[in-house]
Amino acid sequence: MSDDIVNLSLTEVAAAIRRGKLSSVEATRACLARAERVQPKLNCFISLEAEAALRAARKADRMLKKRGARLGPLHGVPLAHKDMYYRAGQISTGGSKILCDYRPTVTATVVERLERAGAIWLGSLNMAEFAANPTGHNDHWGHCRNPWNPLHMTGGSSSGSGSAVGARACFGSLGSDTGGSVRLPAAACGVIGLKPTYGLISRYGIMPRSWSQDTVGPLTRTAQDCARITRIIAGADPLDPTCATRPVPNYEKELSGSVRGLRIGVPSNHYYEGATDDVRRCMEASLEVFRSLGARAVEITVPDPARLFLLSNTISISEASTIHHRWMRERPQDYSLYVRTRIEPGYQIPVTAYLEALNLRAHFLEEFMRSVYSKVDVLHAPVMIIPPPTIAETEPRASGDVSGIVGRITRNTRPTNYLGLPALSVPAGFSRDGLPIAFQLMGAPFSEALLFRAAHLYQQETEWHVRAPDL
Amino acid sequence: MDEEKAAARMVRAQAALLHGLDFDEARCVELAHDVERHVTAIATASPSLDFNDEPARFAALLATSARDGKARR
Repeated sequence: MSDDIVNLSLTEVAAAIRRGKLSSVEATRACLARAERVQPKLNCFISLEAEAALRAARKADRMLKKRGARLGPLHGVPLAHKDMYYRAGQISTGGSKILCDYRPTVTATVVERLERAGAIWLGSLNMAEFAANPTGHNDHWGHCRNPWNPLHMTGGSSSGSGSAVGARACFGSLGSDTGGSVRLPAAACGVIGLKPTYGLISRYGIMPRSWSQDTVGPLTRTAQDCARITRIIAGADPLDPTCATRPVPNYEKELSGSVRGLRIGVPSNHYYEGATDDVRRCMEASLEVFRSLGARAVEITVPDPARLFLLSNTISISEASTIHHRWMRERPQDYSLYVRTRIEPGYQIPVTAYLEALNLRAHFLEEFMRSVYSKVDVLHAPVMIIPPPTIAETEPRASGDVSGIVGRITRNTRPTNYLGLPALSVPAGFSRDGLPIAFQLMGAPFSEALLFRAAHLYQQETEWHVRAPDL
Repeated sequence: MDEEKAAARMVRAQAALLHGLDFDEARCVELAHDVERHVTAIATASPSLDFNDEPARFAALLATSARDGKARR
């Protein structure tokens, strides 16, 4: 019975609760039971707030019985989030030792919006320390593990989000993406993950990694689920001046429609270099599905992704080194090798180089719009060129190992962060070893509705998102 | 090799003087390579920058380039 509940999608469970077929307490208990069962194997939670979650679930159920009660679109639905979303007075560790007992004084705007929508907070999820690695390793809280094979990485930095959603321990999760940190765990764990347009969703009250590139992104099992969460959390926020003020579309309504005539750009450069046969097979199969839906695949050369990678990294390391400056002086030993190695170069980057990297973003975005999005509607490419490797293979033994590991895993995701463009990771099949493989759809600014529609129609034709790991 | 050592020494001195950070020689060599890689990427692109460029132009461009999910149906 419990397994039947956790296998529902977010929108299905929300509908079942609203119609009285399922109570929020039942849904919450089912998630808690699953979380407790998988936690020893996957280590996806940093904290599980069972009592508080059940209290909130009981309150949600009482509200359902009140005549005329206004119910939000996530009424009674249990979610869990990467442990970097601040709630005033509650511990938010950032996956770190340094913040292990940090209690922020503010609550994130996106957390407030989810609460107003009726969602239940189940617990805080594991993550790469300070959102600073793309593998999910965490020396302080223990590594998070892939629900499809616990010897393999979850991807990061939203490792717990990918793992918990994949393991059906929650119906959705907020992660964050600065260089791939939603898309990578989504791809590695077989779930949907959105990196939105920079500025679509408020960053107020979330732990910073790189102010100019940080984005909030949901991980869910279906595109429809992701569309619902995104609509709830997106939109203007006076507390975040980088947040766009444009109206937020009703993404769920825009799921209906077709992709007939959609021009899908398939990069002829960079994105397939070093890709394994499994990845190529899944990519081609997914393009066949889109062709069967009336879309057209068009080969296209993408301008300079390798340079965009370095420009993005320049911004990330400069901003991260500033954010961590005090602690790096006072307590460098409390950072893991991964994090320290990725912060240290920032102290050597000239400020003029950093500012030039920022200034160049508009130039490269213009070039991208001109040479890519004048010809195609979306780009389609692998999120990773390899299936998720093992935790052991991606463990650095020395600082010199880090950039090679990071570069290989994030080579296809980071360029999009530099350009501020939206990208949606979509499950596309499995490797011969049973590990998830995903494509990403990358769109023009604020084209999330199109990405969701394409992914939704793809999911109507495929069953990758329905398959569950054997836990 | 001399150039590499000189770069590493500069990295070490700069880290200590400006940031109060202490890196060993091997790490300084790595950092020097890393920084050079990044700075070179910027230097090759920066000739396209205009006197009037500023970082905020990027956010404005995102807004004016918005597609709002419009594509052929």
